[in-house]
Amino acid sequence: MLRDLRVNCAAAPAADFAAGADMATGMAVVKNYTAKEAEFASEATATDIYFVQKARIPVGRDAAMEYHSDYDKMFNEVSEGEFVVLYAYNYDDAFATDAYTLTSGDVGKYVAAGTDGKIVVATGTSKYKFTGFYDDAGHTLARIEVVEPGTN
Amino acid sequence: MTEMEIAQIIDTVNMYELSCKTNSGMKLDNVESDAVAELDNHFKAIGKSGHDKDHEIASFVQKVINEEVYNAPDELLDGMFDRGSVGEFDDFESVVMPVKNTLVAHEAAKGGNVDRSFLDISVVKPIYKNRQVETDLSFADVRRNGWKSIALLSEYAVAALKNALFYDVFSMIDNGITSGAENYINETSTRPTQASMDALALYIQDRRDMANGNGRGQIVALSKYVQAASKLTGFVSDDIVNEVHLNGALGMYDSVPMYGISGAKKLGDGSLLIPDKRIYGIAGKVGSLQMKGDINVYQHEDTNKELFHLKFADFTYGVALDKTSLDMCAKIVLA
Repeated sequence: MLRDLRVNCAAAPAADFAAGADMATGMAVVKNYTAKEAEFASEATATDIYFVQKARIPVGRDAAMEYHSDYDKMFNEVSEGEFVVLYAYNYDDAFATDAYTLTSGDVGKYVAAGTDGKIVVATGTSKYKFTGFYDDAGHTLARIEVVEPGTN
Repeated sequence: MTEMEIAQIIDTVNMYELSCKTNSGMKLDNVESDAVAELDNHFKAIGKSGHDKDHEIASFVQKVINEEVYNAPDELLDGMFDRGSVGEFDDFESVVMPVKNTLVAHEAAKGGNVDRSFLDISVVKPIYKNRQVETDLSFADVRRNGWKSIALLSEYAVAALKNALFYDVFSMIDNGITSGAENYINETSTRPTQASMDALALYIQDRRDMANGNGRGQIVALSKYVQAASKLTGFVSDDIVNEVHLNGALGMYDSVPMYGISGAKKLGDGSLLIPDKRIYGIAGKVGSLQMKGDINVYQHEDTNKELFHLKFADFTYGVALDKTSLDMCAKIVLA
């Protein structure tokens, strides 16, 4: 799950990359321009990372159901080869994701993309700061703001 | 008697009522007496030949169960759940309505932005339970008692199935409310105290919809706890004492009706109808309870062992509730 909290509404995220592996929305990936795929970083990094998102369109049997939660599996699970939208965030944007390995003790630290797509505490320079947890109608997401690059 | 007359009896007489009246030895009216006489002869003949060509025993019992379990309203369950039925090969999802208002109004200076907040429709998938009863009815029993053995079987099958449903539903509610949640009230003694009962009543009062006819909510517990809640120390008046003296327990606690479940009634395997050491408070509908398909009663004649084997199968129901919908229910956990 990826939620935009305070962002520039004129961004133009790339929609022409396919997922290089099974992943979920909200995960942090890097772009492989040769294969035109979004993949997990080979080592934890905060440089050139993008967040996976997809349009919430129900298909097939699931479309017969009257109501869908934004957290429904079909809106958040991405199979390998499926095309994804890659959101990039700029200075002073705030967003939230549920793909994280963070604790309340990590609040205020710089974070980066882990090798499994989840946000972890950064070891190098990062422009993403973990400001705390965000309660989205009962779901707990990690709130991240984009700041000037720094280290922990 | 002819086949037509039996069919007419099934259509005109309420079979469940007839079974209950037969079992308790109550006086029957004319139509019912005639019906019982016809049915008795019919079944005794089946017991004699050991051959029930059209599986009539099974179809009688099935009709009784359908009337009573699937079609009869049940005050308590109707107040707690959206009831209905889905087909044998269907599925259903339940939505928690109204949607919880999770929009946040942030304090803000003028001319800028705040964090967005979102509404989420929580969709709950049901847990299905399937219950099955099997029993034997000897030829000799049917020959000797005729209609009476069928009546006994019918009434008890209905009770067993209804009680199993009730128990499953309350167990799911019990498991869904976990320690630390707002609707989990811990009580350190073995009987409720004013503190815990007040907390439960307040929880219900805050959430019930009095505009709705059934909107007062209810407190459901084994009768021993309702009795204890009627006799709390300190909170007494002549009126309260008189009511307990006349009725055995208070009808309401802080404007919430109390409903005591008999501790003497047990399920076939000896367990109580609802989990012990619990008092439940229901403020409104906690979810959806759908019967899935119809019950099927299968019958097999065993001429060697001289009995009819009956199998009551496909008593399936789905219960859809989750943390959000369970907000409408609280429980007191006693020591």
